[in-house]
Amino acid sequence: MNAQFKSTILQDFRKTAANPVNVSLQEWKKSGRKIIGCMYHYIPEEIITAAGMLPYRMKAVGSKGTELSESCFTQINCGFVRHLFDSGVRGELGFIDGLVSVNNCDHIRRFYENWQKKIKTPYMHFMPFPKKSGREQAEVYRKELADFKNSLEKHFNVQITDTKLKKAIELHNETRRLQRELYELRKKKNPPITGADVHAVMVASSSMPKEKYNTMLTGLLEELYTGEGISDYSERIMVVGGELDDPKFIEVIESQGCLVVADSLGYGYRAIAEDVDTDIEPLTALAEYHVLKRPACPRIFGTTFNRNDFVRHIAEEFKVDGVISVRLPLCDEWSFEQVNLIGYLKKHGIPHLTLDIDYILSSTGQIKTRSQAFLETISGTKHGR
Amino acid sequence: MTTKPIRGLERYYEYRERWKAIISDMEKSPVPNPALLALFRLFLENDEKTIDCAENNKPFLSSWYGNAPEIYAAMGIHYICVVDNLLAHQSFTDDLAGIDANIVPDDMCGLIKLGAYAVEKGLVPTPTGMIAMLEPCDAQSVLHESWINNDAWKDVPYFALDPAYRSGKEDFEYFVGELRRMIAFLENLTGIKLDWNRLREVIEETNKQYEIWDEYNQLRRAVPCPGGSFQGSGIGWAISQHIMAGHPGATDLFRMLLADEESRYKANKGWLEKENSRVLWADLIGTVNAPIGEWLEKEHGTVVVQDFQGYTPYSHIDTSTEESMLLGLAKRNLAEVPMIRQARGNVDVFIEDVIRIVEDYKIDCVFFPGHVGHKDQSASVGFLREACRELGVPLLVLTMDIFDPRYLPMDKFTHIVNEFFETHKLGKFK
Amino acid sequence: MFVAGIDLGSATGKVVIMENDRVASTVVIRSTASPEKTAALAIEEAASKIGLKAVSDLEYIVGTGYGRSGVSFITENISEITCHAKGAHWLNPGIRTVIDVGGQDCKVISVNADGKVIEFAMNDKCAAGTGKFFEAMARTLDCSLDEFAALALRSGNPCSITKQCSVFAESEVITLINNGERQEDIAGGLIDSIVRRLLSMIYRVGAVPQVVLTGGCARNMALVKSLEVSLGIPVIRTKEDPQITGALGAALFAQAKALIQNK
Repeated sequence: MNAQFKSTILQDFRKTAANPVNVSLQEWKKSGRKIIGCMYHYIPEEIITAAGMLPYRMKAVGSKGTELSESCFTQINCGFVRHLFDSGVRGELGFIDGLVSVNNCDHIRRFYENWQKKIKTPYMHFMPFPKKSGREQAEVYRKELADFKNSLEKHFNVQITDTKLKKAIELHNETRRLQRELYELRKKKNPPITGADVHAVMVASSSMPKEKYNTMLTGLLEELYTGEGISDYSERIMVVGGELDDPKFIEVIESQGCLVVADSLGYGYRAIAEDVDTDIEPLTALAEYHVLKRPACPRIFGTTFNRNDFVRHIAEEFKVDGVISVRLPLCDEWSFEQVNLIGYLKKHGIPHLTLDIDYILSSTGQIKTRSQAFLETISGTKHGR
Repeated sequence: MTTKPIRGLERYYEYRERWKAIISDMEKSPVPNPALLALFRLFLENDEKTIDCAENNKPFLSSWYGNAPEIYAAMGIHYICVVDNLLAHQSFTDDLAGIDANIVPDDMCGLIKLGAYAVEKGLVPTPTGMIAMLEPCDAQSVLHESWINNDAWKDVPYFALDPAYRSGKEDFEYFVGELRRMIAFLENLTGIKLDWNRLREVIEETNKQYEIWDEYNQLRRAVPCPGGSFQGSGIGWAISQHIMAGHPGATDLFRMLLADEESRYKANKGWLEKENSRVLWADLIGTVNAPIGEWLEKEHGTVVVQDFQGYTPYSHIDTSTEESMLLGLAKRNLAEVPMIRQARGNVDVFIEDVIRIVEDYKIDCVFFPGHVGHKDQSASVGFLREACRELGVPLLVLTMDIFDPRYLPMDKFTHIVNEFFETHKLGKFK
Repeated sequence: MFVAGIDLGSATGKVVIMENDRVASTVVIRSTASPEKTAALAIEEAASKIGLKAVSDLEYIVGTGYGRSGVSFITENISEITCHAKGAHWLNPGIRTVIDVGGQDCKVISVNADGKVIEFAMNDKCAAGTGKFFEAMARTLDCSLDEFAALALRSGNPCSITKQCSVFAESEVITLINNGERQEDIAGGLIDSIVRRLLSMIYRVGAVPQVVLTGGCARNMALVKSLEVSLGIPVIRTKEDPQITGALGAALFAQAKALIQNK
C-alpha cells in the first residue's frame, strides 16, 4: 500500500519516530548544545527554542519493560509513565540536560517528582497548568511562562529576548503550517501517504531541531505533490486519542485494509490546528495559545463539546467512514472522554470503535480483529448479503 | 390529578424512609447512642431539604466539599453531593452491581463510577445549578464533565472552580478570585445576594466546630486512645462539609463526641480494654472502613487512631473583612479539607502529614490502602516507603477500592493484615 | 457446489461445509499448535463425512477466528465478529444481539434486520468470562466442564465471587472450598461472576431481543439460565450447535463469494 519514494526522507522520519534517540539529536548534542525534555504537549516549546536549546518530547518507544519503575509506582499507574521512568532509570534518556513538566495528569505530576528524586537531571522545572480555560487562567499561566523563561536564563546563563521568542514562534508556526499542508493532502480521494507514515512524520518533529525538520518536511511534501496516490484501500478512518507516539498502532489498523486519513491526537491534528499569535507579546501569545486557542485535551474541564465538534468537523472534511478512539488503560482523563464521544458520534451517525491499547503495543491480534470487524461493519456491501 | 414523578426523588424517598425507620428503632432502644441518633437526624433533615427543593422548585446545587459550601449556607442555598447518599446507603442498594453494567472503564474509582451511574440512572434529582470541583484527582474533573454531557443534566448551568496547584499567598489569592466569580454566578443564578454578615456568622460557627474537632483530635494522641477507629473522621467530615455548613446541630454533635472521649480520657481509660497497636490509615475512609475498624479492634486490640479524613488541621478564619473571609475559605478549601490537602498539589504535604501523624499520635504502623482512584498517591508510594523507613514504622501497602468492598474482600484483607501483624509483632502478636 | 467456513479458535477448530443452502457437514476438533494443521485436519474430517476429498472439492473457503491469517488454503478471511453475526442471523433472522463466549475472548454483537453488525464490544486481554476461565475453575473444583455446569444448575444459593481474573478467582474459590461452601454454590457463584462480566459488555451495545448465545460456552445451560435471569429476557436456543456459529457464518460468506465468482 505504500507509495514509492525516491528519497530517503520518509525513511529518516520513520527511524526518528521509532527510537528515543536519533542522528540529528546526537549531532545537536555533539555540538555542545542543550536538550530539554518536555512532558506532554502543554509545554511552550518555543521558549526552549528561543534559548537556543532543543525541546524533546519525552518518549519511551521500544521500551522493554517497567521493572525499574516498580519501587515508585504501582499497578494502577499507567504504562506511559512507567515505561518512561524505567527508561530513565536505565539511563536511556540520559542525553537530556533538563526536564520541564506540567501537572498534566495524576500520573505525570508524580512522575515528575519521582524523576526529580531518582534521576539526576541537571535542570528541572515544573509549571502548574490551569484545569479550565478562561482569561484569568491564561493570565495565571503567562506568569508561569515568565518564571520558566527566567529560570532557563538563570540556569543556563542565556538571554531569551522578545526578538528571539518571536523568531522561535515563527519557526514553530512554520512547522505547524507545513504539517497542515501534509494533512491537506490526506483529504484527496487517493492520499499519497499512509496514516502510519503521517504519524511518524508528526512524532519525528518532537525529537529533532525544527529548522532541519522543516527542510526535510518541505522536501517530502514536494515528493508527495508529484507522487502517486494510494487507491487500494477500503475505508477512510480517523483516529482519536491522547499521547500516542508509536506509528505502529496505526500500521496495525491499516493492515486491515483501511487508510487512516485524519486524527485528533496529541501528536496529531490537535497540535497543529492553530498557530501561536505573532501580533502580541510573545509570552501572552503562548499562554493564550495553550489555555484558550488550541484544541484542548480532556484534561481541561468543559472542553468536551468543542472537542467533539472538532472531531466531527475533521471527520466531515476528510470524508471519514468511521472513527477509532483509543485510550491507555488506567487513564482517568480519557475514560469519560470515550463515553462522551460514543454518545456524541451516535447522535451524529458516525460509526465509532473504542479500543484500550497499551503504551507499548503488545497483543496486536486483538486490535486487528476489532479493527477488521469494525471495517466490515461499516463497509456497506463489501461481503454481499 | 397525578403529576409526573420527579427524576431522582424516588431514591430520596427511600433514603428518607430508611433514616426514619432507623431513628425510630433507636429511639425505642433502652440505651440509644446519642451521637449516632443526632447524626441520623441531621442526615434526615438534609434529605428532607433536598426533597423539598426538588418538589417545590426551590434552588439547590450539586456541589462538593471543597467548593466553599460555607458560601451556599450564607446564601441559604441548599446543596447536595451526588455520591454522599449512594455511599451511605450502599449496603441497602444494588448500585455496585449497577456500576458493573455501566460502560465506564472498570479501572476507575468506585466513587466516580457511582457518581456517573447515579446521574445517568436518575438516582439524584436534577439540580438548579452545579459547582464543579476539579481537584484533587483527574477523575473528579472528568466526572463533572460526564454530567454536563448527560442528557438529563445538559441544561444545568455550571461554574467550575479552578484550583491553584501550590499553596502560596498568590495561589490563595487566585482562588479568592475564583470564589468571587462563583459568588457572582450564584447570585445571577438564584437572584439571592450574598449577605456578608450572614457569611461571617456561618464561618464563626464552622470555626467553633473545627476548634472542637481539633480538641477531639488532641485527645486521640493519648495512649490508650480514648476514641474508636474512624469515629471522628466519619461523623466529623459528614456533618461539617456534607450538609449545610455551619449547622448549629453539627456543633452540638461535635461537643457530644468530645465529651464522650473526654470522660474516658479523664478516667485514664482507652476505647479498648487493652490497646495493643495504633494504626494510621493513610487515605480517606470509604465504605470499606467500618468493618475493618471493628475487626481490628476485636481481633487485634488495635485502634485506627488517625486517617486523612479526620486529620485536617483547619485553621481559624479571620472574619474581620470580606477579603479575610474569602482568603480563609480559599486556604481551607484548597489546602485543608481532606484529600484535596494531600493530593491536590505536590507530594510533600502527603508525606509531611504521614510523618506528623506518626509522631504526634504514636503510631505503630501505617496502612496505605492504595485506593484505585488515587493514582497520584500510588505514584507516591516510593516517597511513603522511605518516610516510613526513616520513622521506623512498618508500612502495609494494599490495593483496594475504598468505595467498593468487593475489590479487596474482607477475608483477603484480614489474611493480609494477620500476616503483616505477625511479621511485625503487632496487634494480638505483640 | 460445496463451500466451507473454518473457524480457528484458541481451543477448538470448527468447520462447516455447505451445499447450496444446506449445512452438509460440521466438525469440531481440539486446536493443535498450528492453525494450518488444525484447519487441514478439521476440513479433512468434515469432507470425508460426506465423501468429499478435502480442499480440492471445495469451491470457496472462508476462514475466521484468531488463527485465520496463517492458513495457506483459505481463499479469504473475515473477522469472527462479522461471521458470528452472519451465522446467528441465518439460524434465526429475529436475532438482534449475539453474545459469543469463546475459548479466549468474548464478544457482544448488535445486529440489524439484515444480519449486519451495527456495533460490538469485546473483552480485553484477560481470560475472564471465557472458556479458559471455565476450564481453570472446573480444574479447581476437580470436575469436568459438563459436571461444572450441572453443579451450577443445582445451586440454590450462589456464593459471591468478586474477582474476575482467573488467577485471583481461583484462590478465591480455594478459600470458599476451605470454608466448606457447597460445590454447587461455588459453581453457581462463578457462573454469576462471568455473567456480570458479560453484562458490562452487553449494556455497552444494548441488550436488544432476541438474544442468542454462541460459541462453545453456550452449551453450558447454567450460563444461559443465569444470563436470562440477569437480562430479564429469554436467550434463544438455535437449531445447530452454538459452537459452530462462526464457522457457519464463514461458510455463508463463502457461498455468496462463490456465487459472485461463478457469475
